[in-house]
Amino acid sequence: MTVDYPDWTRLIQLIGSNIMLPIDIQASYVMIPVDIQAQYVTLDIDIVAQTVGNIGIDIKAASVGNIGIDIKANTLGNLTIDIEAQSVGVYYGAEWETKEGNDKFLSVVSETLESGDSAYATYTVPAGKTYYITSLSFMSLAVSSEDRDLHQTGYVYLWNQTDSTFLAHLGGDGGNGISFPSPVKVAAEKEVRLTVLNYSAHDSLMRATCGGFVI
Amino acid sequence: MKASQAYKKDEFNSMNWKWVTSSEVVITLLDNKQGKSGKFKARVVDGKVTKILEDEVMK
Repeated sequence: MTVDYPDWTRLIQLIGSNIMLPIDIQASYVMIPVDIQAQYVTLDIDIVAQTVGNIGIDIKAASVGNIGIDIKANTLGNLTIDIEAQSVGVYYGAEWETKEGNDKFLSVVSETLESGDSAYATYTVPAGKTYYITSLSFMSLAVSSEDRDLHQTGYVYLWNQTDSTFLAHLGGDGGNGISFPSPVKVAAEKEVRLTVLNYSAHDSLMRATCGGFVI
Repeated sequence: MKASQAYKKDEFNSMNWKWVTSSEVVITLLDNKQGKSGKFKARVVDGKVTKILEDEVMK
C-alpha cells in the first residue's frame, strides 16, 4: 500500500546569534526560496535528483573563501557565472594547468642538420595521463653565413609513433608557429615524436617546440 | 636526483633534445615545480634511451 503524505508549506524565520539548521527533505517536488543574511555562513548543499531545474546562487559578500562546484550530469543546459569582485582569478584550461605545474614542453635542436635530414625528440605519455598539445613552432637558419640570404625551408610535424598517425604538420621559410584551437590529444602510454626536417639546400640549424599540458 | 631519473619519472615541465651525433642526444630537463634543471647525455635507438653516457644532478 502506497503511503501518501500531505502537502506541507511553512514559513521559517529564525533570528538568533548562533543557528544550526540541518535539513533533510525527501519529496517529489521541492521549492525552497532561501534568503540568508548573516555575519558568517557555511552552506553545504548536496543534491541528488533525477532532474535539477535551475540553481540560482547570488552571493554578495566582502570576502568569499572558496566556492567548489562539482557537476556530474548527462546534459548541462547553461552554466552562467557572473562575478563581481575585487580580485578573482579565472583561467582557461591551459593557463590553469600551467599555473598548477602541469605544463609540458618538448623541444628538439640540431645545430647542423644537412639538407634532407631530420631530427626528433620523443615523449611517452605516462600511464593514467593525457598529453594535450596546444602549440607547435619551429625555426630554421643557415649554418653558413653565405646561405643566409637563401630560403630557409623547414618542416616540422607531430607523429604518434605508437599508432603510426600524423597529429600535426607545419612548414615555412625560416620558421613558423601555430596554436591549436582544440588541443592535440595524445593518450596515456602513447609515444609522440616531434620531428624537424631540413628542406633547404644547405646545412641548417633547426629548432622546434611543442607545448601543452599533461593531466 | 639525477637528470636521467627525473626523465624516467616524468618529473619535468620542459625537455629539450639536442642531437650531438646521429645516435647521441643531450637531454636537458627543467622542473618548474621544484625550480631545478639538469641534463644527461644518452645513446638513443629509435627514440629509446639505451645507455646513459653522462648524468647531472638536478639542481
